[in-house]
Amino acid sequence: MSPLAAVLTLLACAVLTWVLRVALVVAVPADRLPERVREALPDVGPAVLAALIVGSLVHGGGLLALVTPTPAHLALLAAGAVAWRFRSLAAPMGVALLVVLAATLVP
Amino acid sequence: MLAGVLVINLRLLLYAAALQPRFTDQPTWFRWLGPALLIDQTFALASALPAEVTGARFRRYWWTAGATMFVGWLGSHLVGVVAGPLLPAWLPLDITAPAVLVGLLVPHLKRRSGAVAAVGSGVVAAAASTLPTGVGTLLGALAGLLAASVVGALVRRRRVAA
Repeated sequence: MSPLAAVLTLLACAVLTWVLRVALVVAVPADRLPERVREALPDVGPAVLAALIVGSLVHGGGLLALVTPTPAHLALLAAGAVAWRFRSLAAPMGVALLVVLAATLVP
Repeated sequence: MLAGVLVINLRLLLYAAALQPRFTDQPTWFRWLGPALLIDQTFALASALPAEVTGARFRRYWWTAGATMFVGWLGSHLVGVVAGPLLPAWLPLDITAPAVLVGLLVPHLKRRSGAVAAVGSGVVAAAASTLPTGVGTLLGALAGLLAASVVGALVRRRRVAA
């Protein structure tokens, strides 16, 4: 791919994602969405976040990878417990790092 | 390539729909430009805001959160490129990204519908993780929303019947 084609492709990607961001803000006001859809909107956050977390945990391994315990599973559970107690973003990160380190170093 | 970008980022449509009420009474320029800063982290921060934060207060919050993420994101990449080779290879840095997402997710789990959405989404995202990148995330999120909606309707029906 030539440098010009690469820049144009990046620009096209930027425009595409911007359209995805503004489409429902500008074009379709929330009060025009069906009631069932409006009721579901507060759950968009947990639904997408959980999907992103699980995706990075199973690495394409399917349901089996979700239920097969690994240090990463343990680390994210520990991170969740810390986040539940302290409402912090740095603490879960630190705890997860320590748990994986400990699981890796302990034979 | 554009198709891949589209699938991976379709969740932005869900984010935009969820945040739309925050943008309803904003000036036109903000409704067109503000969503440019919509990413996973700014969505999570904004959706945790009390409903009273509207108008100019929301705009200040949004620009501050977005600018902090933008500068922090680029700055972190720069630091990573420079410091990465100096860090020991055994440091399990891969776990930090999902751990931050866990930190953003956990407050939502204190609501029943949020917990149902997360569990439904996680199970389907795992099952669909063998599909092309981004598809599992999208299917998981939609399944989670459906599960929360169904459970919510069942709970309401039981209350009415009681």
